[in-house]
Amino acid sequence: MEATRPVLELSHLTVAGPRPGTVLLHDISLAVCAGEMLAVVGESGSGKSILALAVMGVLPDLVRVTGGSVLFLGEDLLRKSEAELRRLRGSQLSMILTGGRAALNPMETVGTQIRYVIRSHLTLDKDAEDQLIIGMLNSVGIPDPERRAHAYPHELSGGMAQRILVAQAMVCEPHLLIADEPTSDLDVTVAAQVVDGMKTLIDERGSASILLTRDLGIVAENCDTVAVLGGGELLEFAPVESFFAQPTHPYSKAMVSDALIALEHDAAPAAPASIAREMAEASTAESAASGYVLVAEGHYVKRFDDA
Amino acid sequence: MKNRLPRYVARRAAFVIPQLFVVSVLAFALLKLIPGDPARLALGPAATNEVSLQAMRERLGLDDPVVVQYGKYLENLVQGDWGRSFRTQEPVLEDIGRRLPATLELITLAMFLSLVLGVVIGIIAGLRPRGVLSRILTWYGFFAGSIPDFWMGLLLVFLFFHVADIAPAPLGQIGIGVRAPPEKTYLLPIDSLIDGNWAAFKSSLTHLLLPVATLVLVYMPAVLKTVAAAVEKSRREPFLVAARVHGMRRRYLYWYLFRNTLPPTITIVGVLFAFLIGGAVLVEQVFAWNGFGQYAVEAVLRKDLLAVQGFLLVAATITMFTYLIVDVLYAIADPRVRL
Amino acid sequence: MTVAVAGIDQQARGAVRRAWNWFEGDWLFITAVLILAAMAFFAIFAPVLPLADPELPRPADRLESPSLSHPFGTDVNGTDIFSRVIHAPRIDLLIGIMSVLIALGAGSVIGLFGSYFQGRGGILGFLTEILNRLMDILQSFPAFIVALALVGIAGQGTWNVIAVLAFLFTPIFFRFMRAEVLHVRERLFVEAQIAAGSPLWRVLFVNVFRNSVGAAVVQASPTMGFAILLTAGLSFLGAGVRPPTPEWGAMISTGQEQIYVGRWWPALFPGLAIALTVFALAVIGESLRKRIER
Repeated sequence: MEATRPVLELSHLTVAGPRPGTVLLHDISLAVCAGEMLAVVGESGSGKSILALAVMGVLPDLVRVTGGSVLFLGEDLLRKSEAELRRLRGSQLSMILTGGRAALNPMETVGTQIRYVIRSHLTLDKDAEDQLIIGMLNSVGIPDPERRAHAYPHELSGGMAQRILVAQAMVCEPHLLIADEPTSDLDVTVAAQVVDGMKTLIDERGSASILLTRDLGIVAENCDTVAVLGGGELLEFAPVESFFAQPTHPYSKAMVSDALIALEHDAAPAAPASIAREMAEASTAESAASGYVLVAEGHYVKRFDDA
Repeated sequence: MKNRLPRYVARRAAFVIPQLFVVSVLAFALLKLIPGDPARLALGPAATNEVSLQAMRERLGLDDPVVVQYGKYLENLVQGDWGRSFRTQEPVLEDIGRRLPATLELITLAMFLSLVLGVVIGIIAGLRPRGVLSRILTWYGFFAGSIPDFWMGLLLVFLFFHVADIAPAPLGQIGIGVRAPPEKTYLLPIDSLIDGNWAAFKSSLTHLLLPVATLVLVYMPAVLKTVAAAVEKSRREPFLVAARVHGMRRRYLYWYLFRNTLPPTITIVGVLFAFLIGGAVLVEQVFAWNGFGQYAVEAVLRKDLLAVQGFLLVAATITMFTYLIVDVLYAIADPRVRL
Repeated sequence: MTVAVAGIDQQARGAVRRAWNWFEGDWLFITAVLILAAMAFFAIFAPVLPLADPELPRPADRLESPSLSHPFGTDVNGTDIFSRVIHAPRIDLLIGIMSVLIALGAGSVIGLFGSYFQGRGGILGFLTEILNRLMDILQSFPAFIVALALVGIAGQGTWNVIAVLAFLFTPIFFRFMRAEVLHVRERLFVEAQIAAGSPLWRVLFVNVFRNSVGAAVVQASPTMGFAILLTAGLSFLGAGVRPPTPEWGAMISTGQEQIYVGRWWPALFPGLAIALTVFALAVIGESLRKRIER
């Protein structure tokens, strides 16, 4: 698979909320290629989860896409029927919902819940299913998988539950995995283990992935590109090195410096806002019309008023 | 991950024994608390000669201290000697054995239908909480719980017996001109089948129609409301969104919903069943069902003490075992309970 | 003077507006309140309303179907059913209200003591344990038959029915109280009061009671409905209120035989009255519960 062809490409995606006039996502364009991990960062309420649900086509009641396109392997998901989407979800593109154990049915064993995903997409005999389940549990780092497959969600620790979610999302080897805050309730070591496990699976299969998170530490270590979301708009989109070298939008800068303070590092030399202004002035008429400014190669920033 | 169910069941079942003990104390207290000579009360209008009164006094051990009296009483209970009803002149336990099946048949059928209808309609209504169906059902649900069941029975009799003439007269479990089969299980439809008596089978089924419909109309909405509320709640749970995100087939989504509505449904059906053990009397009365509840009513109205006491003991025991079964089923349905 | 009056007036209006806002748009609730208000009005003013005598038999008018002079028809004794239906809330509401008030008082006080000391060891802890088991077992008896048996022992009559129902309902309020008290007693202000040296009875009645009784009070409304249903059931079997006192359940009972021969009116109207009243009580209870939970 060529690394250059985007697995997922959003262009001008706009999503409206339940009340008339409310816009949850405005004109989002971004792309992620095979083997790449894109981080979507932003506070809660920034529209991260809505973005993920819009891609998966499972928006809540009364929330709907009003414009743009979602190209998955070159096909627009927004034009597909619910039946077609159902077949794609969980097999071609998967998602790990936020909430950890709450995303598992409390009434069924975790093995059964993975089995239902397999049976929804593949036709295997029971032995093959069992093998696949045990193999998945093994590869996300669950010890004693034969026994754990018969466990109910409430019998597992938060980290274990999160690994189950990874296994469940990856069992059909999707081309794209979206993970919504997969580490929010976990302590640092367990979070790192879970992300490592996820990363290994993704790398093995050459899938593209999107990580929705607030944890810039994880982003810096694992991701290739960063998209900053705020108030339903894409504020900055950059390769990960460029983003940490010169976070440009004030919102991004604040996030990065907060993260650095949290990590007790010295403040990194952030690019002065003047650069952005210079770039803005130098930008072409085309990029000015789009509302974005090119800061470095592949590093776009939404125009902002520098107070 | 180990199967903790058997231990849970044993622990829960052990709890029934002290309960039964207290029930027996209360039933004993009932006899003691009533003003008047207990022997005279127990014999009823038959308390005419001093010989039988003295015999009853000895039987009840009225001259002994209370604790000894209770001991004797308990001994008799355990040995199955619950005394004779002065009305029927039969042992109370035999009377009850003869009349309990008809009531159990009635409420089991009604509860089974309520369960099936309640779950199906409840899931449909719960999936569309703002739909027309669930609005109508909300109103009816409130209203149904407010309808006296015996009045509902009378309305059905008027509509389906008097006006439409498609239901039989509300005069018992079988048509008057139909030859009843020999009693074996005391369940008429089954006895008729054993006997190969087709006419009696048909007649007994048609006689079940209206009383069962009455109970379903009045008590099914409680099941329905429980199911609809549980569906509405689990529909928004992350795990159902997750199941959709994983592209699970429709049948698994419905299965998830069903599984999560099961525990509260088991509870409500159990509570209704226990309530109806005694609560169905009024409906029995309307249809002259001649069941367990009506036996109790006759006993109370005629002050047939030993029969009343027998009824209370049996009813409380059935209630306790119903709750035991409910708790066990709940633990099977909800793995989180078995801790 | 006028300023003060205007102030009070404004306060009153504010209160009305707040009350209105609380229930705004909840038509189910407003309907329920109107039904109940009508029943209460009938209960109080039935004797002075221009109605036929509800207990006077008129053999010449037996079993007349509804007409202008008898809107709900007449029963087997020739008494006017409309008048009886209007008079009945005097008994039915009285039984409902009194039995629930007594049970609420008893259940919440017993529940307060019974659960405050639960699991706290000592002789009090032991006693509460017994109390709890007893209440659980009392509830495992079939309510209706126990009521019937007790009324059978105590004899017919309004106040006997009230006493029996109050006894039956006490565990209901006890349970609601217990659930709350077990919760409230762990709260910080209770501990703070005791640490500050307030006497235990004061903490119990003032702090714990006031903060726990809400759930039990909300339960009063649907339980009143239950009381009315049970009363009607008892009377239907001829064990509740003594005839010819107008009472809905007893009226249905006299209408039972008429139904079989196609005369629907003697049983229909009292049943409707019961259903409406109990319905209103259930809706009000549900509405209050939802609003308090919010």
